[in-house]
Amino acid sequence: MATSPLGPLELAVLLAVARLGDDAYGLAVRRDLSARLNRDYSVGATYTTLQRLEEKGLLASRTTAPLPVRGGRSRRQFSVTGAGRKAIRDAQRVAASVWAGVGPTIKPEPA
Amino acid sequence: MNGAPRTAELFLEALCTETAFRDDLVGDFAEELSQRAGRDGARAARRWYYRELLRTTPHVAASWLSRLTAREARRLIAIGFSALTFLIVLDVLALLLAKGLAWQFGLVHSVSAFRLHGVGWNVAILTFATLNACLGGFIAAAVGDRTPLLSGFALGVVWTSVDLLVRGVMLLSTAALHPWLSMAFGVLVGVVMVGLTIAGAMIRIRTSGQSLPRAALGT
Repeated sequence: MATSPLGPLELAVLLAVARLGDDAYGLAVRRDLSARLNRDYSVGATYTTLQRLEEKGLLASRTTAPLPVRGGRSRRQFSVTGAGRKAIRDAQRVAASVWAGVGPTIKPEPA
Repeated sequence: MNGAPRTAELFLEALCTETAFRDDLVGDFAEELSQRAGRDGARAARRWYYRELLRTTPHVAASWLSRLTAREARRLIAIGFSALTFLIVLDVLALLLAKGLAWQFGLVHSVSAFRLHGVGWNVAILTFATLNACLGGFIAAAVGDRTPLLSGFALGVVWTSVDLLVRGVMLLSTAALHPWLSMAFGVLVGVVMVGLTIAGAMIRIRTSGQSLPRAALGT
């Protein structure tokens, strides 16, 4: 099934969920993104992206039991679906293809 | 009790149209608030909560707009148009009834903000009326579960009464002739209208459990 191309934030969120494994819920994903991309993403931006990816079938989610630290609310834990893994591989292949041959012409920045 | 500012939490709950999404989002806010309160203190954590709420609102609103159902879209348009129609009709009637008062210190002063930017009178008046009507339409829709037409009518009555009252007060003060005061008046009315919209929607949410956007649209 062909899926629409992933935006940069969508890909970053998808990868964060893949990386976090069983600990992939909104807050953890947001922290992972902020640490890696050095940018403070809002809770809303993270959740709407997670929701969009789930609608595209790239993520699946399950709800945990309510937790006191969350004011009695449960967590939604995300996992990457088969379609999501394929989308990651496709994105990696496209990136490799786009970058192919560029390396020697780009000099590393001085430290 | 998780220490979250109650009004902000209520607003956040109200903002989400899907119950599951609402729990996830509010839960994340609560969890981070509790961690920040332990690390930075309760005051700083509450400040973070408010700031984060402001940053989150546009994303959630955009997400809702992108999932707008045909019924909600139709209602949104209907509220805007019917509110505009009623506002114009009632404002014109009010102008005829109190011509000197309203015409001298009414629309002319209300649209001076637009005039300062070189916009023509007709465009300025129409834009001002449209903005007010759309804002006000939501107030009426938020406070009552009525059809858009009746919501617009309710808006017209409320808006015209308040408008004439404030213009009357301005007439008594010579300082009201200053264009910046007129602009401030316009801004104040806008803020009050938005505030009333949210307050009205909150009342409906508390009684019906609806989300803010759906309560505002009356769907």
